Amino acid sequence: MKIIAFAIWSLAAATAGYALFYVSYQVEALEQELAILNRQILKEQESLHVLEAEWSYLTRPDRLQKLTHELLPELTPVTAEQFTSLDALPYRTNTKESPRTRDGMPIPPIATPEQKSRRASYKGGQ
Amino acid sequence: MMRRLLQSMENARSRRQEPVEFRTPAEHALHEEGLFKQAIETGRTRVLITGAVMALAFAVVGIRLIDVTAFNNPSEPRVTHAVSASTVKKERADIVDRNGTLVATALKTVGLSADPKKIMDIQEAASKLAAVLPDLSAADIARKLSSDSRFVWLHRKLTPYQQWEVNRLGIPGLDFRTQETRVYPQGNLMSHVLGFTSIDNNGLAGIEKKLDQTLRSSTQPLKLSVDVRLQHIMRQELQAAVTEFDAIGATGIIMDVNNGEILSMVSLPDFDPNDAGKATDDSRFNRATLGVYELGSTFKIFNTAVALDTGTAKLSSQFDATKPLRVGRFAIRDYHAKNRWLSVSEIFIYSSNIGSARIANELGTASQREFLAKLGFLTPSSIELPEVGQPLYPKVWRPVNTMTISYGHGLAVSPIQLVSGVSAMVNGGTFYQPTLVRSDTDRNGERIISESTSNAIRKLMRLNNIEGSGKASNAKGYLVGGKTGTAEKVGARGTYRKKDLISSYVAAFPMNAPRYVVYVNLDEPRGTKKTFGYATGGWVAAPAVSQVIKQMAPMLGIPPQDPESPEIRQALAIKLPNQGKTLASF
Repeated sequence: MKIIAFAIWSLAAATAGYALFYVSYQVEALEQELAILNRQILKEQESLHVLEAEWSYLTRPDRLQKLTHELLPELTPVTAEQFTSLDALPYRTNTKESPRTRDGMPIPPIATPEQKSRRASYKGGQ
Repeated sequence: MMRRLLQSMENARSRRQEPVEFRTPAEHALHEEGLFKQAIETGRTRVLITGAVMALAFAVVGIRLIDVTAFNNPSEPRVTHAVSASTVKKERADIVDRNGTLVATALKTVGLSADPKKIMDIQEAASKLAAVLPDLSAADIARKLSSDSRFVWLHRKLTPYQQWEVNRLGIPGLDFRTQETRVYPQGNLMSHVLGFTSIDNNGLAGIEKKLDQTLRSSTQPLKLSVDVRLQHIMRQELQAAVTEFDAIGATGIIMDVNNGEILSMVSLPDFDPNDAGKATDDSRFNRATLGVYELGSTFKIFNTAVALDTGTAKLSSQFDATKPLRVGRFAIRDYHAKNRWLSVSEIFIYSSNIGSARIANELGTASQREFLAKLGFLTPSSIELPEVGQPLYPKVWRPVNTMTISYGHGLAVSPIQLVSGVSAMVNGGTFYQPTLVRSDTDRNGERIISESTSNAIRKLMRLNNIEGSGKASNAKGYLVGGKTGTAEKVGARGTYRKKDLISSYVAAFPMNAPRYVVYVNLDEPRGTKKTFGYATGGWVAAPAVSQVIKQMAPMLGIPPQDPESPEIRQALAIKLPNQGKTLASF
């Protein structure tokens, strides 16, 4: 009887001991991994920071203007004439003759019911 | 232990011989057995105590072993404490513009230092280093390495390639040091706003100096009210004007009239804050805040406003401008003399000095002074820059000073002060201190003129753009209104230099509900063929204002308005009684 109790206790002790050390080593390994990851994150953050500075440097307005001028000569700054209100846009009429703007330009077919409702909701949301 | 046991038995035996009393053999045997047992008992107790002590010692060692291996001892530093994934710590916080564009940041760079005591062959080390670092001379390095100190800087900013090359030389006694360097990615664009720092990251000018403590302690980037895009537009237009009119300098400011935030502040010539050491004193001078100038006719805005607000005059009140006004040995003349009686509106749009002086005379020195004090024209501006100029005004404010100040002579203020003053005149009458820092909360202003006075000033400024000297500043659809200002600079002997002008234009738009004030000022412009030799504000500064507004308004999404629409005509109509007709100011 005594021997069985002793065996059970020593087994329990051994298991507890093993478990303790096993978990402890696992935690240590994980912590090391965490430290490595943290160091990596810091490094990434630093390079991110450098890239941010570089982005700001590369998107300087004067540089963008020069590049646009050279590469996209058709793209000009927005002028006041390009603004218009939705009320000023003509709706299509249902006559056979295609509708024209005030300048006499034909207006492409627009305003299916779906488009109309979408337009209405956009106007409401303004 | 065994020996002790034997010894105690021995003792017992020897003690047995000592007693003198007589015992029977049976008694004797009994006695002997008792002694024996007692000895064993003593031994056993001792063994037990020793054993317990030893067991306790082992237990302590064992517990400590488990403690050290399995549990973390707080007194020992943990590996993970050294590195945590928090954000990168910086000595100084970043600075961003109102849209979040990075305008100043700190980057890690590597510097090269040396401990001269540890360098074995100075000449060899110097020549080797000079070979890989072409911007240093061998003689210079050798001189530094022969010094007595234990630490010398050889180079403050190495490129990664240079670092690798120096490392490859393998010279003992050299050391790399990581340090932070302030970097301004936008270059010259914000030079006077940002200022710059020393090589040890101490703010030396601009925002960097004024908000040094905030930048050091904050982890969040500092958000400015300046917009990089508008800054670029302003700088570009100013540069074009400087080139065209051969000016020695220029200033441009854009301010939000409804909270005093500065969206753009340019002073030319400027410098690259990344290399501030090479900048000349002239290019480091901030004309927008540090320079104080007599700003000329733009002051008529304030003169008219205070006269209307105090009830000294109405828009229709008439003043005599038939001939130059003599005050002592002075004669106040008009640039475009009309030689007749003028109404307050006419005095404003024809920019009559005589009329303004007469208004000021009626107003009185005390009211004028009090009003200018409310506008902050008698104290340095409270803007977040260390470079602010002290306004110059007469110590004794004589009537003649009152008259000349009415049209902007005899009182020198910085352009930023003028712009905040004009903002208050057109925004409904509330004065906001100018600021370069964006705040999330609404700013508090101080009412200085009534709503109706402000309304009248808007109409006058708009009318000046239609009938008066500001036509060149118009931008189609944006209802610009403004006032020119042309002042002669004061020469070395305190006399005015007729040829050297400060020509400026201050405008606000859209005039029915002003949102922005745009100010352009050129220092010593020269007239060209295109301007018929004129170098006045209306000819040189107004076109630049127009260009700026044409570009900035669509960028900020301000919808253009039809100047012919009834509401606009109604809002900006003004009556010129002298001609008996209503001028719709559109």
